[in-house]
This record gives sequence, C-alpha cells and structure tokens, in this order.
Amino acid sequence: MNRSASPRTRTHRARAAILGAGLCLLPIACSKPAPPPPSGAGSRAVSAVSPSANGPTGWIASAGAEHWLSPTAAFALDPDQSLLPGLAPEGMHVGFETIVTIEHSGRYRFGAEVEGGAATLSLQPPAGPARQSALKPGDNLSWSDWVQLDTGYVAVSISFTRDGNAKARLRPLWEMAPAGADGFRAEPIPSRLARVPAAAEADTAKAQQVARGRLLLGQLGCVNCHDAPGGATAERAAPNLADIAQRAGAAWMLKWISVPQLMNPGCGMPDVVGDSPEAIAEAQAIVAFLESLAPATDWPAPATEDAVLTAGKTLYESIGCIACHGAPVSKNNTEWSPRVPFGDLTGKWNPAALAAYLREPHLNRPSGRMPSLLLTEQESDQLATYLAHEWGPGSGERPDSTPEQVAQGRAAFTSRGCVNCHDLGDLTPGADIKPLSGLDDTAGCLNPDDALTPRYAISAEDAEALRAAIKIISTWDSTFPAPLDHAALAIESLNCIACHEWHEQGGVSPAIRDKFETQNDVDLGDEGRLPPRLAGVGWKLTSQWLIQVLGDGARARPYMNARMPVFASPHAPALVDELAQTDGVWPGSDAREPESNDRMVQAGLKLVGDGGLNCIACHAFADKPPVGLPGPNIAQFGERLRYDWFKRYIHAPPRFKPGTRMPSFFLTGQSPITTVLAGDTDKQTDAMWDYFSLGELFMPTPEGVMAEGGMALQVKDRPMVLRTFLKGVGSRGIAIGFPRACTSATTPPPRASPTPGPASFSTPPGPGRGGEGTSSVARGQPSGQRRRARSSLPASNPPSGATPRRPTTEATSSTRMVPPPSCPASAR
Amino acid sequence: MNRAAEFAVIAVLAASPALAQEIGFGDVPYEKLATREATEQSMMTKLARQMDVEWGPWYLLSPFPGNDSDGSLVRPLPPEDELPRMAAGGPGPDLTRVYEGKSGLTPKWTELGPDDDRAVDLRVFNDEELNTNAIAFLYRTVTAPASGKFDLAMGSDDGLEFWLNGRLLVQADQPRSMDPEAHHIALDLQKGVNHILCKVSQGNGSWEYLLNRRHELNPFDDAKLQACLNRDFPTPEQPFYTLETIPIPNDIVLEVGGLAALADGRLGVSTRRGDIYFVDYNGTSGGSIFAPIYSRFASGLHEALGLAARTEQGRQVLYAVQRGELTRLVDLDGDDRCDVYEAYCDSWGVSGNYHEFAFGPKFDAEGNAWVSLNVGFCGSLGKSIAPYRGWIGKVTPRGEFIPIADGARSPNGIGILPTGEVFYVDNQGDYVGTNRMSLVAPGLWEGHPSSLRWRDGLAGFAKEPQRQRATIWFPYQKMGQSTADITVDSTAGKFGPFAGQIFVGDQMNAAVYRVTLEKIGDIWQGACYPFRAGGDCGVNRIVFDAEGSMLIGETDRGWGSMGRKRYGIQRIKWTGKTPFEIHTMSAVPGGFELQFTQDIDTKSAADPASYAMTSYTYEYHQTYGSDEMETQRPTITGAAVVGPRTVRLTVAGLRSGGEGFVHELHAEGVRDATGAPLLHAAAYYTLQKAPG
Repeated sequence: MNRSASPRTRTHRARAAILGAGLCLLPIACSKPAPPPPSGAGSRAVSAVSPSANGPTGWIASAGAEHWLSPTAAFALDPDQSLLPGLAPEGMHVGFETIVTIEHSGRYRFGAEVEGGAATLSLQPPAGPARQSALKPGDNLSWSDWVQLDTGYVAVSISFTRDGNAKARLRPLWEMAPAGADGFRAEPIPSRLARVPAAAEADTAKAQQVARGRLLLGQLGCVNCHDAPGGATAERAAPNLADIAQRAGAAWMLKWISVPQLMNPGCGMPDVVGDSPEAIAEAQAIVAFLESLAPATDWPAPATEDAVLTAGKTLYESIGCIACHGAPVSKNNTEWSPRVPFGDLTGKWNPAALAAYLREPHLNRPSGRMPSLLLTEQESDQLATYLAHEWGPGSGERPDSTPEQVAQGRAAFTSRGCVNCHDLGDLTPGADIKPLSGLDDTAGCLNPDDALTPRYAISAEDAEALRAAIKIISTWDSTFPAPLDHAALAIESLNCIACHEWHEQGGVSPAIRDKFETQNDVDLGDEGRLPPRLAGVGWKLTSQWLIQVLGDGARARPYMNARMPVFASPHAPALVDELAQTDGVWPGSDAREPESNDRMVQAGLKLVGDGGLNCIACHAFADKPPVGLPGPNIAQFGERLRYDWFKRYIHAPPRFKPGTRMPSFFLTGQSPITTVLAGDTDKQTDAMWDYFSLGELFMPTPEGVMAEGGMALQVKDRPMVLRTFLKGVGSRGIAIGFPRACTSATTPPPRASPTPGPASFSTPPGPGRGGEGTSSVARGQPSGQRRRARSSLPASNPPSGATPRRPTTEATSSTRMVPPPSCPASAR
Repeated sequence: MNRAAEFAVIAVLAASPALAQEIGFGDVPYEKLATREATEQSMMTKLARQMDVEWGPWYLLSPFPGNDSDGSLVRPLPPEDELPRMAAGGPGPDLTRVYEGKSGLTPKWTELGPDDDRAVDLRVFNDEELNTNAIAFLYRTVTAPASGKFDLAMGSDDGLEFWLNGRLLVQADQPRSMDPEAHHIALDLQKGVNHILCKVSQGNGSWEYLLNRRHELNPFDDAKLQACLNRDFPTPEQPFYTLETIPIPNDIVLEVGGLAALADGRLGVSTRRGDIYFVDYNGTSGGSIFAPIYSRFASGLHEALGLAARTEQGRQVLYAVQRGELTRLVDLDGDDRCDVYEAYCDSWGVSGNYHEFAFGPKFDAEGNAWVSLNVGFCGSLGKSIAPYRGWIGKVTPRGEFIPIADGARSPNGIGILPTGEVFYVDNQGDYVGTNRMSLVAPGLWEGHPSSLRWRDGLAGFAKEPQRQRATIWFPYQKMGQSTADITVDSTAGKFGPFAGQIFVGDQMNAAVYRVTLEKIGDIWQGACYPFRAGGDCGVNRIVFDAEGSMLIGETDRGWGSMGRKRYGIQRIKWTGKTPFEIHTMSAVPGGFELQFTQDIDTKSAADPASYAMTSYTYEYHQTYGSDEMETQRPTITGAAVVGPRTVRLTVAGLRSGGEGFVHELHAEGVRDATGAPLLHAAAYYTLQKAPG
C-alpha cells in the first residue's frame, strides 16, 4: 500500500536543545534520533548498514577532503557551477552515501536521471553482496536491477564524475513493485527515509560543524570586516543607520552601543565600546553623531485602547511573527527558544516609525532577513501598538550634544569599526583588517581575552565551528558559484525553517503550534493551518510561481492565517533557481508535457467536475469557493505546478504530503471513473493536466461549480419555518417567514419571545463557509425531566418546493427564503 | 446459507417483475455500443434534447433605471416594444435604435461576442451608480436546422425575464445570487432563426446572466441510462449486487440525513436541509424504481441527520434527530403531511458551532431512542462546548435523556445488535487514529478528552476512566475515510449470504463495507471487508426494506466525495447469485479461521502462498489521525482446509492488545471449486485479544 508507514518513534519529534543560552541560531540538521530498526523476520541490522543513531536525515556527500550534507543527493549544475565554492567544476567527482529505510518487504529498484557525467550506484543490503550498477548519462532514466529487500535498511551510495565542465545533473529515484498495491511508482527517494550511515558519523559531525561555522560567519557579520571569498557564507548587511535617531530612543541607543550582548545574547551586534566609565563618554558621542544625521521627528504616544492591543496581539500570534520571534518579551519564552528573539527593546521604538518599518522593513534592513508580511496600514498600527506596549514605552527626548561630541562620535564610528558593518556612504573603513583566509583563529574576536576586538557571546562549540569553517575556506584556492550550497545557507539565514519544515528539520515549534489556525475554523487539520513542508518544492513548483511567492505575495492557501512573507533579501531571487537545482531539475523546465487536444481537454474538464473525480468539491475554481474543505485553486494549477510532480503526486498523494486529506483516487491502479478514457489513470492524469494548462483565462468552468450565497430560502404564498442557528436569538431558533412580511424568530418554549429577525437567512453550506446565523454560545442545561411540550406550530408545508404527486422535469426555482419584493422596506 | 434456500430465493426473485424489466426511454431506442463511454455519449446526445444549433453573439443594451425593491423588473420598458419583431423567423429588434436609459445615458445595442459557456458579466460600466439599481437587456439569435425542443438551464443575479420568440418563458423578479440551474426550461425552437431576449435586474453587487447549455439528462433518464450501462458493462460486483439510482426531481435537494423503511413499503428520507420526504419506489401507490413518487411530509428541521419510523397505537410515528432536539412527528389526519412536531427531548447542548451534529435515533428493544452527539470543532481540535457534546445516550419513552458513554468525536452512526449490544462509529481526527467502530456501554470513555467535563456529578462515571479501545479499525483510505451508519442485515437471507452481519457506509469512497463481530472472552472484536463500491456519492445512511433490498442515502456537502452526484438515494439488490467472498474471518488460537461463501478449491486454499498478511496499529494522540505504525509481515506458516468452505490459517507473529493490531489479509491465490478467484480478496481483522 502506498501508506507512509514508519516505525514507532516517528511521531515523537524531539527537537534538539539550543546550544548555549539564548543563541539565536540553531545548528543545522539537529533532528530527531533515528528510529530503531523495524522488526521483521529477524532484525538483521549489520553495523555497516545501520543509520546514525542521532544523525540527520539525508545523505553524506564527499568530494576530496570535504564533506557536506545533502538532503536528496540530487543536483543540477550549469557549466562553471559546482557543489561547493572551493570545488573545481571541471571534472568534479563526488560521492553520496545514505541508509534508506525499507518499510515494506518487496521488490525494489534504484536508479537516477543522469546528465553530463558518469555515475555508479551501489546497493548494500544487510545480508548478501553489494550490487553495483553503472548509470548511463542521458535524459532517460537509468535503473539498477530489481532486488528483493526486506523491511529494515539498505545502504545506498552513488558516485558521480562530471564530464569536464558540462551541464551536470543527478536525481536518484526508486520504485517498488507492484505499483498500486503495496508498491509505488518511480519517485525521488524521500529524505525522511534516508539517514546518514553510522559509519559516517565523524564525517557528518565535521560537515555539520563547518556548515554551522560558515553560517555564523555571515550571521555575525564576520565577513563584513574580514574579506572572504565569494560564496563563503550568506552575507548579512547590518541595519541602515542614516535615520536611526528618528526610529530609536536615545537612552536605548546608548545602552545598545555599550552592551548589546547583554541585551540580546548571541545577536549579530558585538560588544565594542563596553560599559566602563571611559566608554560611556564614547558611547554618548556616537549617539550624538547618529542623532546629527537625522532631524528630530514626531514621537507620538502609543495608543492604549484594549481593542487595538488585542488586535495587535492576535495578529502577532496568528500571521507568523511568533514563529521567528517568539514572545515579544524574550524571557516569556519558557518552552522553546525562537531563532530571532527580540532581546531587550524597552524604550527603543518610535511607535510611528515601528509601524512604518513593519510595512517596509527592507528600507531599514537591507539584509532582507526581516521580510514584509504585506501588512495594511491598520494592521501595522495595531502591531506596532501592541509591541511598543509589550516592550515598554520610550521617548523622543534627545540629550543635548556639542559639536565636539559629534566629531568625536564620527571618529569613533570609524575607528571602532562600526562603519564596516553599518555603511554610511561617506565614511570610509579605517583600520587594516586581515582577510578571512589564513586568519589566526585563536586571535582577535576568537580570543576571549582580547578586549580590543569586537566581543561576541559565542559558545565554545560555536567558536570551534568558526575555526573549522575558517580552516576550510582557507584551503579554497579559487571559488566557484555553488547554487545548492548557497540555497542551504540562504534557507537557514532567511529563517525559512522557522515556519517550514525542510527535510525533517525546522517547522513551527510545537510550543506555538496552537496559534496557527485557519480562517473560519475549516477542518483541514495541520495541512490547513501549518505552512507546507518545503522538501521537493523545486520539483513541485514552477520557477515563475516561486518568484511570485518570494517576491510578490502570491499565495495558494488563502484559508491559512499564517502569511507567507515577501523577501527583499538579495539572496531571494537566486533562491528560486537554486531550489530547483537542489531537487535535481533544471530551473524553468518541466518533463515533456502530454500532447494536448480537444478530446483530452474535454476529458480533463469532465474529470475535474462533479461528474468525474469531483475535484471542485474541495478545490476552489477561479473566484468560486468550494463547497467543502478548501484546497488550492484549480485555476492556478497550470501556472504553479510542474507536470513532472503532478503526474507522480496524483497517484499517491500521502507519499508526497504525509497526512494529507487529498484522497488517493488511483489507489488500486484503476480510476473510479471508468467512463473517461476507459479508466486509464495515466491518460486521465494527462487529460487533467491538459485542462489545467489552459490557464485561468481559457479554462472552461467545470460542471458543478457551486452557486454562491449558501442556500437562501424563498417564501412564496405560504409561511415557511426553519429551525436554525440564529444570531442574536440562539442555537435553537425557529425562524418563520411570512409571505407578506418578513421573518421573525423565536426560541422554543419556555422562553418564547418573538423578535424581529433578519431579512433573509440561510443554512451554512459547509464548514468552510460559516453561514449567517452562527450564534453565540447558548448554554442549555441538560434536563433530566420530561420535555414533551407540544408544539403549536401550524402545519407548514408551502407548496413551493414540495413535489406534486407526479414527478416533473421542470422546476420553477430551487427553494429560497427571501421576502418577496412586495415586502415593505421598513418591515425588514 | 444452504443451497436449497438459495434456490428458493432465486425462484422468488425470478418471478418478481423487477428482474424482467425492460428499460425504455420513450421513443428513443437504447443502443449498446462497443464501450460504456461510447454508449453513454451516444445515448446522452439522443436523450438530452440539444440538437446542433448555431448561437449568434450576445448583444447588450444597458443601463435602464431599475430598483429591485419595487418590482420594476416586470414594468415594461421600451426595448420590449420590439418583441413582435422577435417572433420566430422575424427580423429581430432594430439594433440601431437609441433608447433613453439611466442617468441620462442613451444606450444602444452593443455586440458582446460569444459567451464561451461562461456567465455574462453585466457590470460593464466604470461607474458604481450605473452598476446599481439598474436593468440590462441581452439579445441573441439561435438558428436551428429543424423544429424541436432544446433543453437548457439558466440563472441570473439578480432577477430575470426571458423571452423566446416573443413568448415569456421565465419570470423571476427577486434579488438573488447566480445559480446556474435556477431554471430548467425546454425551448421550442422553430426551424431557422429564433430570437432570445433577456431582461436582468440589478440591485447591487454581482450582476450576471448564464445561459447554461450543460449537457445534462433529466434525473429519470439519467437513472435509467445508468442502470442500462451497469447491466451491459458490469463491474465485478454487479452480477451479484446491482446498484440502481432512484431518480430525484431537480427541485428536490435530497441530501440524505436519515432513512427509514415505512410500514407501507415507502422510504422515509430526512434531509440535511430539514425536510422529510416519503418516496414510493416500489409500487405502494403507483411509484416505481425509475418513476418514483415523492411527497413531502415535513420541513423546517435543523439538519435532520437521522430518521426512524415506529408504530404507536396503530399509527405510524416518525422520530427525527435535529441538531438540538429529538423530534416526534405525527400525521394525525392521514393526509401524508405532518401535523405535530413534538419536542420529544432537547436535553443536550448546542452552542452554534457548525460541527455540532446530532445522529440517531436508533431504537432498542425497550423503546429507548439512542442518539450520539458530535463535538464542536475549533481550529482542528474537537471541543465539547455545550453539554453532552461527544456523548452517546438514550432517550427513554418518557423523553428523558440518559447519558451512557462519552469520548466520541464524530459519532456518525449507531448500531444495536439483535442481542442488545450497542456500537458506534467514529471518524478520524484528533485522538482518533483512523475510522473505527467501538462498543458503547454505560460508563465507557471512547477516548476524546473534551467530553469528560460533563462527568462531574454524574453517578456511575469515574472521574478518570479507562479508555475503551477500538472494536474494529477501518484502515484509512483502503476501508474508507469517513465511516457512517451501522446497519445489521436483518433480511434473513433475502439480501444474500451475509444475514446477521453488519454493513457500514463511507462518505468519501461512496462505498459500503461489511463487518463481522465476535466476542473473545469479554472483548468484542472482528473484521471488516469491502462489499460494494461505485455509489453516486458519499454513503451516509443504510436501511433494508421489506423486500430485503438495501437502500443507501447519500450526501457530500461540506467535504466532497467520489461519485457522479452530490446527493442521492440508491438501491442495492441481491441478484440471487452468491459471490465468492470471505464470509467471516475469525480469530482462533494461533491464527485465523476463514469461512467462505462458496465451496473452495482445496489445493489453492491449502497453499500458504495463496495468502499474504501485514499487521500494524494506530497511535492514540492529539494530532489529527495516525499513520499505520509498527508495520510487520506476519508469516502464514500453514493453511489447513477444515471444511468444504473453511480454512484455518496458522500465523507466526500475531500481535494483540495496545490499540488493537489490524491484521490485513490478502487471499489472492484462493479459488473456489469452479476455479474463480475471490470477488474481494482483502479482509482486515482488528486483534485486541488473541484467543487460546
């Protein structure tokens, strides 16, 4: 069966603890411990074929002396691109190893799509010989032979040697026979079933350490001072200080310049000035200098109305802020450690400036790490009010300053090195600072006793990671563009994993999951309220859609409260292509799409409508919402999805989206709709794709797309009664529509009290579209007594809607309950 | 059932008119082609009266002043002076004429072009005032090669008047939103040019008109055609159990919430929209399966998700469950219309949350009506906001609600065995790994914690109860995604070999599954099996009628399901031919015993290689649903034929206890005495307690 079964511990997601107090960065790939081997007909786990007990999912990759972690062993490289910055593209030779979990005994085969090089695949089951096969280059898939594997593990390794500097691509796949019953069709090996071998633990630890160090080099801004080769890290520009004095309170600035590591341990701003008595004067001078850069501005008193604060708090907790930042006051994060805690922000923000910043964060922070959540003006005001209230108010008061102080401050700004990170245009960097390669890694910032260099609160472990990274970078003679490497750095530095699970790491912390909700409480489970997993996103989504998502606010899940931000980061545009390359597909490409003709499009149209697979029951179509639980919009499929992904996904959705509500229509290998294209699932898949490809402008409306407006009831010439939830009346309301007048509503005895009712009322059609009449909680007390009050309602069977004794084929109208036009306006 | 009885039943059925029926379509002959698809297409073209015509482009004339609240749609406007010119074959309106319109404008006919099967959006002005309180005219020609009828539908937002060849066919003067099937009409087209004029009023908001040429049969022809196609292109299950659609007229929305077989042979149907209909499909007063007669008995109920019929003092009385009340409905004067709606019991809470459904009633031998109550859903978690939500209880003949068990989440189905035990089915969600059937008895807690709060102060309910485990797990997707209803086969053989067994429906797969139960020690457990797939829509309710046929009621509003339709009723009838099936899978020491419905071929049945088994369990946790966990492959070490229809399997690696281990058996290699394979080779046994 194509169920994604897994051994018992899968649901216990142990999150690794943060190393060091309050560090804002998680080490990469600290995911849950390996499951015990699935017990089967004897546990035959041999030490060579066992996964690392605490290691990460994915593959361990090696080239020369360097090792790194690859989630899928897939890649797609243009000429002159490499897998690592320091690895020459020409004749690149790389090996990947992993332990794959076999969940069901059966016949398997492994293979890969290979381009631009020669590859060898090796399989080592727990018992028996290893099998090797050469995978030939070319567009076609290359497979090993079928092999019988039992539940347990199998070691897989692939080595690849590039043909000169050619375009090179590798995408490992696997398949289990027979498809449709227990087996599955060819698909990329899911990273959740791949884990680094126990034998490679040392290399893995080293790789993780280097990766951590390289990340820190960017996050802590080391490379802003120490020149590093391109690609060494993902650079991070520091905030723009040209108008800081208009945003931040002077008292806070003074403190921040002095002891930032005390206020926000582990953040990217080092202690430079310190808080000794001599240092205070220097700090004040720097503040004076900064204030001289920007004229005074209004500092409005923050609003204090409960309604605004509540609205701000609701926004903060529901649209996603909380996932990166945690609680506004950092010490309130008791159950988890967010990656970007605020630290001490008491008195920092000018509320008006904060609201403006939230709307356009890239103006102040060119690094783009703080993205825009497409807030309206009202929303940013509410958020700013709430945050300012939580942090504590500041004031726009500026201390007096003298021109000497300003000059002193300007000098200090250069001499202390502030200008290396905080570019101010007209100031040039001062001191002669060594480049990163060949740096003495026991001196300077990494020497705990050297007070003359910037002080970062780095743990011993992180210091070792930095040293390891510097060592590796120092070995790079020349550097080359390495798209996958850059993508991995970007995903961590832009903090995607605070919300999105990326190959078993990250995702919304369990401590705050309950804050993530859907609009109108649609019952979609986690699929509807948590941001989607990103594994395979480059394979699934088109480049043109990803660009819109990252840069333009395009959304596929309007029912989710959490918002996908828009990233103005310099790393974001490249990420679109890099995500595809990480999945081993050429950016902007797709598998050869099926031939489209009228017959196929018509077949696809029928399948999508309510005479076929009834996709429209759940998936919205253009601007028409679905009746049931909402799914992404059909009209967007052609522009969003890649055919290569769709044709695999549709056959077994739970394999690609564990826990999805999407049914497996083709579970048995046969389509339930036998009358379209003779029930052939491949042809039906192609037909649906041909229909999607027409795009929103040209695709005809599927049959059965629901009329809007719920189901209003129309009164004709006899009164009509409806029991329903009625706003303002209760959950046991009786609404009565009279032909000449309007509705009135009453609760059943004993509290019968007729009240004027709404002009029209309807039954909610489905859970996603709460109709009118959802009332507030009515607390009925359970009664053990007899309740057989006789109802005095008249027989209410208006002929409208009731069928005559003879079946008819003509209906005049569907049942409605709306006052006829003759109803006087005042009575409504 | 033994052979003699089987023959007797076949004889009875053969004599009945139902088997001998020839399905006719009036003057249209039924013609079977090579494939089902081709046959269906060809018949639909012949039956749906939609000859090949040529549609002219739309012309728009707008805006005219209007105001929906004073009936201005029906007040004639100057363009209607041209109606005489729009007689059949006539010249049509003067397209160059200029009119006096709204706000001083002078509208003229403007060509819009073809409509590509989409609604015409009439908000063509950039001015809010012109798009509000206005009236627009649409005109087009349709040229027919011959005279004849043409069926189509239409809808508009807001009101509509529609003329064909100068004759008013539709008048709907009301504010409303677009319903593509608001009006079903047959156009009487004349050979040559025909003229269509539409007048569409606008209050505010959307303003559109749709000429819906969707190719659709009327429900009666559709049901008959499907029956012919099923007969001529049968699925594997068809030769044993036929599946017929009972057609529903277009103006009845029969989203089935409850079914009850009435004493006079009719079917009582309660709907989610609050109506109760009586359906004569079986000759009670002239209705038949493809020409049923509907009469509406009651209306206005608040989502009637269950119906039962009783005889009290010689008179038929109906009981329906609404969200907040068990209602007793009585027809005092015998005119088939309900005269009394009695609030029989409303002693449970309903807060207004959309998911607070109420299911039932199922009557036990003492005359208590059992009901079950859905919890509310907030986010994706069930919450028992109002009293007794998540509880199952019974209402005594005196109208008193007695709470019995709690911990249910979405208990859409109660079943009472002839021996008195009560079971219910629950749906996958938080704290429910996959759909399951569980025992109900006083004081039991079924697992969902939110309803525990109502135990306070109730005698006989422990504060921290033990958790009742599943009796039957329905593995997700393989055995449905949303189990509904529990119905015992009480037909004593008229419905085939499964007398006494239990049937459940599935609201996603539009299928019916079968369940067998047994008691090992004091633990109820058993197996589920596929039975009949291919329903028109998600199956929500199941009853048997006096003839021994199964009636299924369907709806999928709110979640979508497989199937061609969005609601309906169908009849499943045993043809008299017994399928080769696993009749019962029961647990024996060391393995399982399989009882088959036909004599088996000893060689294949005794070969362990004919069988394959996996076992797995589900986890109890808050997260929505559970994967199959701890999957293993128990080995079938022996298969012993112990009777002409019985095999005993010895299995190594059986697991029991915990949440119950599903032992999924596939008997692909077994053959019956004639060499035929099993109709359904799968069976899923939930082992809580291993015998011996």
